Amino acid sequence: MEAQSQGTVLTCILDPPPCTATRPVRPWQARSALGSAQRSIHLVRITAAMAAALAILTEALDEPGTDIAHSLHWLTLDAAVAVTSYLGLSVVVSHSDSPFTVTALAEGALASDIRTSLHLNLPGPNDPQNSPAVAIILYAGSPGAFVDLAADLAWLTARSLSEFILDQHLSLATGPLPEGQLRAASAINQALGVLIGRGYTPQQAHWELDTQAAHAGTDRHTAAYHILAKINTGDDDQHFGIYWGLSD
Amino acid sequence: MTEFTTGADRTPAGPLGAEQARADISDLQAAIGDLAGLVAGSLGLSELLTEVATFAVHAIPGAEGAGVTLLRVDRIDNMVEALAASAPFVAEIDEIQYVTLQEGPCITAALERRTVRSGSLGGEKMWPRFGPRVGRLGVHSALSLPLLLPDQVVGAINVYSHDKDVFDEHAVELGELFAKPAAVAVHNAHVLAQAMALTVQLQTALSTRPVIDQAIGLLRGRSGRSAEDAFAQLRAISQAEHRKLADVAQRIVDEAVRRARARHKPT
Repeated sequence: MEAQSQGTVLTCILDPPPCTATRPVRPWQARSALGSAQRSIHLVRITAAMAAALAILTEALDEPGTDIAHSLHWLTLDAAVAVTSYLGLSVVVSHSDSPFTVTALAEGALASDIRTSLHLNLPGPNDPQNSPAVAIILYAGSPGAFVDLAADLAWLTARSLSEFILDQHLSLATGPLPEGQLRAASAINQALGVLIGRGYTPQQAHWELDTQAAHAGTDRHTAAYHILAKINTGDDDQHFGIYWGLSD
Repeated sequence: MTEFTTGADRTPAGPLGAEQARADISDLQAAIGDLAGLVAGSLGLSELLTEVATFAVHAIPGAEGAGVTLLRVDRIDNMVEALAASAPFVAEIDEIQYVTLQEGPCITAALERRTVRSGSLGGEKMWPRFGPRVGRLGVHSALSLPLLLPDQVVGAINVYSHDKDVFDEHAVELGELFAKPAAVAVHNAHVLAQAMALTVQLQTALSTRPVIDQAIGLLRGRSGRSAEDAFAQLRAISQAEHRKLADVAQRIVDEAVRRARARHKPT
């Protein structure tokens, strides 16, 4: 992975991901000149912090060979092949404790180049009422570039064409960045775990966190950081500490 | 552009009768119509590719089996991303081509972006290892059609027959007519599959990460360890028990919650 400084943000050019074991693939790689038969493919540009945030999510999948950053990378490469003026995509996660937006533009692409967009809202495997909603927005530079792809996706999914929204997102999607959101959610849940370990029920743990935040005049995730910091400094209030039998 | 290999010096099949030509065109139109009827929402990508392979057998005269191969586009190299075969003998040939020998008509078709065919695989000079090996399986004719988008090879359709010299110019012509819409259909289905995979990964990760973090907090609270160490411990338990990380985390949290609730029960 090559990283270069870009202002205060590190820009990472993802190396091509390795062959993933979870796909229906044969481990054959044409190491010959096949690459030269292809047109040059845009590199996907995501920040190092974004890559780190996606790594947090990948850890939760616990599926060897699966990497969410790589999935993002491959989707953008495949979309680039399908649509010649393709510029990049945004992934918008909502209805979640940690809503966020990830944008991955092709190398050299600018938001001001966007002339058309395609918004996909695909159903996941889980209960849609209780699952985070994930929308994918593709961007391209030539008006009408997504018309055929939208039509194909509609018939491929047997869904109405109106569910594939064209040209309603001509500027980059904005929203909380994943790195901050996921770190905050992680700290809050770890703090809840600490409190549950001390004998609080989940509901009481939430109340305790809210109470500590209110007393300190701060927000939940800052209160969560304080709880976790006390563990690390050994300044932990163990008055509810209980032993639960998990072998080291 | 069609490459004539060992079959080139052989006498092509005689002129088609008008009735046969009409029947072939009718088969092709039906197969292309079938492409338009593919519904990926009810099929996985692999199943969808199998359907396309089956349609190719219907579209190309003389075909007894077909395979569809998706190539992973990549700036350094490429690899087979997904395979599907309409018949077991095609899957066996795919194994020889992609895994054992890394040589054969699909690789040539994709590398050189052109249709290739052979009417006598056993003596085929273009694939000196692949040809004889497949010939010994009793498969003697092959036709490989690259799946081409404007700027890119996205895969290939490979069609086989047991007899010699089965695929003539007419079969090539019909095959290429079929391959054009098939390339678009297959690649767009692939884009859809990638988008769905990303969606599923994100939803699953966001659904499981909270309980994993709570378990990390429990371990940290108990041991004073760092989050990284607690996560490593969680992962070690997961591996030792051959259970998913999220399942282990859920069990740890559930046990702690049960204990907490027991403490608060009125006695």
